[in-house]
Amino acid sequence: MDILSYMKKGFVFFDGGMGTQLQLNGLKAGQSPETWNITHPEIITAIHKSYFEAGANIATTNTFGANPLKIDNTDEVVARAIENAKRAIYDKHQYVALDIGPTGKLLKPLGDLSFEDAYDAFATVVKAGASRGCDLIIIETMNDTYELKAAVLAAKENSSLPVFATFVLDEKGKTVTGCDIQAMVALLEGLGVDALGVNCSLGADELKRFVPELIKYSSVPVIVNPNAGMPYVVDGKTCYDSTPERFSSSVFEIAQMGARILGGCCGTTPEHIRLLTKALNGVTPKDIVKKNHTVVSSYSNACFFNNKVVLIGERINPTGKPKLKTALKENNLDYMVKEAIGQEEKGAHMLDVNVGLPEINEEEMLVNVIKEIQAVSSLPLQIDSSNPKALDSAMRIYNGKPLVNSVNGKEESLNSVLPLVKKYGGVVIALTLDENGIPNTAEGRVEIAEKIINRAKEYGIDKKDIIVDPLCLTVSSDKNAPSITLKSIELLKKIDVKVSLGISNVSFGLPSRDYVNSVFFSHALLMGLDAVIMNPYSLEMMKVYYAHNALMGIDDMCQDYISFASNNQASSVSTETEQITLERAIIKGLKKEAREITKDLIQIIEPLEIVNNHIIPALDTVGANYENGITFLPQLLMSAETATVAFEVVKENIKGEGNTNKGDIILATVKGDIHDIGKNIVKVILQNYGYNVHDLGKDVSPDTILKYAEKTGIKLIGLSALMTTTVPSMEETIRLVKSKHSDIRFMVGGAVLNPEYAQMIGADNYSKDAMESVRYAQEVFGN
Amino acid sequence: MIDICTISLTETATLKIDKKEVMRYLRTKEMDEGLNAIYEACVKRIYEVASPKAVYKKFNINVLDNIVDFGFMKVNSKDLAKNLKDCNEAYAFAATLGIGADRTFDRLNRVSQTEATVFSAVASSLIESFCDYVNERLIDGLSSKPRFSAGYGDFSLEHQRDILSNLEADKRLGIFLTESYMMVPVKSVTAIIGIRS
Repeated sequence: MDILSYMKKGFVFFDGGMGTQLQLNGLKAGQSPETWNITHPEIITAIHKSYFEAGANIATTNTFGANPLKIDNTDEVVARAIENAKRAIYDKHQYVALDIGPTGKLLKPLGDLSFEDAYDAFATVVKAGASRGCDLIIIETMNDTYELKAAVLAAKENSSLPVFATFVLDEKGKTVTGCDIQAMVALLEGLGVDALGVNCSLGADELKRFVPELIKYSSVPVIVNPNAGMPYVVDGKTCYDSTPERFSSSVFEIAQMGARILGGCCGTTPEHIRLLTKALNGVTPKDIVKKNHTVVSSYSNACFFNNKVVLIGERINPTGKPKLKTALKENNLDYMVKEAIGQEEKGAHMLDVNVGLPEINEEEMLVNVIKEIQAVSSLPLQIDSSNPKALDSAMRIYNGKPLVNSVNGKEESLNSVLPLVKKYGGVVIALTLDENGIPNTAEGRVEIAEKIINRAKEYGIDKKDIIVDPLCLTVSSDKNAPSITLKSIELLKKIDVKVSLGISNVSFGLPSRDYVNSVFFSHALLMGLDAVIMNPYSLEMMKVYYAHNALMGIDDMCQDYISFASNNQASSVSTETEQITLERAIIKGLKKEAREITKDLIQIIEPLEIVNNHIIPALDTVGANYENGITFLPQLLMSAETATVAFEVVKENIKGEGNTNKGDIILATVKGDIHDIGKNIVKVILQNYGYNVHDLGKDVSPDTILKYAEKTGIKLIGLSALMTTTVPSMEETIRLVKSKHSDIRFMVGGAVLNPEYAQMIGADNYSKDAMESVRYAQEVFGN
Repeated sequence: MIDICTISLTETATLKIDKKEVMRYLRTKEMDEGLNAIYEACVKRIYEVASPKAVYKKFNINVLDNIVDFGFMKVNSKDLAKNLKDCNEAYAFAATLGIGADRTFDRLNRVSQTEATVFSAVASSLIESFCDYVNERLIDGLSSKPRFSAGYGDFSLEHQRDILSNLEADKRLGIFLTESYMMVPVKSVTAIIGIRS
């Protein structure tokens, strides 16, 4: 009987700790436990056997750290480890799990390991183990959703074995990278693991608190493998570890809560497992209940489609947005990132991301934009594309369980999108159209919805993972369109399916579209709408959202409404303008005032005059004050950002007249260096002085910088390095670029550099601060 | 070897942020109203997002000439040997504010360099304050040496890897080391505290 069939019958027991047992047998601190598979196979087998004898069903191979990022001989270690474990089997219902632990590195963008390299490391372990007769794969002690996703994909794409996955919680019930239980469950179930749960870090007493939540959200069997415990201090209170007796009685309670797969982690011994299996002997486990949550997730939290309508921000979509189109063409990812943060601050629950433009590589751009947004926003994303290849790549690198926009009733769409939803785990928006277009009756649309739901079922996608969008045509061209849509929502709710709507289309061609959108939104809400794609900056829409929740009794004590209303009151009162000049606003760093004054000035003065006679003189004053030690870095930055605001107003009014670019400059933080505040400060100041900065980001390889310089023909490059350990890659970059293009000049900066050091590594200029880089740029460009 | 122990603080507000120290990090001598508002907002934010945690272990050590032997690592450093003179025991600890502070910083770094810079300074002050808390807790009446970190003087930064891995700081605290020996989360510290015999 395989492990999955056995699991259906009753409790399954994992073994306990390997490390503690190895230390008892003489493993020294700092020695690699994995090498003992080769040097001491008989000890490894004996440990596995002692756990089987204690009643464990699963021997976890001694391969926790066997990935190629930690050791050189992965294949040999894994092969021997599996042999050692299999040799210990002496009875039926004894299985071997290939153990996969974390890489020990943190993934980008927070750390320096790429998602793809993490995947490759895990795939190497899986390939080494899959063909050698283990019964399942256990991915364990995971701290980070992104690394976990890489590991599960590697396991599923390189083997057909059952995959179990467990992660580590801290005393607040989150992973150290900030993910909560709901989001973890959503991600893992989406990826199709066979069992999921928690291990390590805490003892059974502490983990117990979090088990009900795991059971509440998981539709697959739940695993709990606690530590024996260790001393720890929370807010000054010291707690201690548990004996085998204490451990087994706590895990017994965990079993009664509904966990089905139980065992131990660090510090647990065969005695812990023996008492545990004895305690549960003859006990019938709770049934595993399938849950019906429609849920998506980000790296940290889940978003459920129930109760309150989910607001999906529509702003990152080039249709009808010339500025966004320009940003996409210029590869200006900052624009998309700011748009994401802006919508989040306005109260969006999710963000739609659509970058489809004929003249750009959509697949590449979608991946890049999603990577950037998920680095700074914890909102789950709706990946929006009609290109299946772009969807595939984007769903793969998305750090969570995505919402996919969209599939429709056409064969081509069903066949290309549904397999992706199954593979990566997602919720998909189903548009009610097919080869014959959009039906003009509600019944016709429901029929297409049902067809999509049935087809999805054939792929193994649950109805709960489908959200139907019955589409909304423009009222100005068809007066009956909105009522058909509303009727469709009503019928769809009767067949118990979630419904979403892109609201803005209804008002196309009409003036003051917000008025129409918000009333239509309100009607749709009463029909039972679950999600809406909308503009979070629209006050009319937000009014409806908050007022509706308050009126329907889903906003406890009307708290959200009150906070929304008071925020909006505050902003309308504070518009009185103080009598100050633009210069003073910039010098004092008053952004709001600077924007208002510039708007007023633009009515009476030429834009370029504002720049030359107001903004630049103010910046010069601030720059001089800074260099003379009268003002300091924070004030310099505040002024620079205020000037940026004024520049933006001016730019909006220039309309193609005059070229204000004083020169193009590449800026990058060198390879190995993942901090870029210094570079960003220099960027803001250079932009203020009229330079066009091409920001290549952080951790940039010499080759990337060379290629970009060659592609653009830019002759000035600014590099930043923060640590002595990364100055060599700065040197390498300069050497590489100068060996091919001796006319390209480098200015360098960073905490560990000085003029001599800069000269030694071949830089043309050492910029002790941002103002010095402006000086040098002026010298290079002669302006 | 004495058992490993972790410390978590859920009530971060008990840790003080020293405004004078923040101003020193920012190299500014004054805080006008505008900057002060940003400072106050950053203080509020860091208390919300920080999740201070530490892990420590006590080791028997052996100091001979310039070599300090911790059992799990041998450090060749004149400065550390001098710091640990007269010590038979030392604590090694790692402390962090957690990844939430990095995420917040990264976000501010995309929106406003002023706020990012001030936030970073405020976070630095908080991790110092947390290290003082941990330090005090560890020495608890013992006579101890000032804490000493890899990277100080000739105590090679490469030992950061030994210390973090011995304390299992990745698993226990979520501290990771990059190829270039930077700790993530950024606001993380490791240190050795010698106990006078």
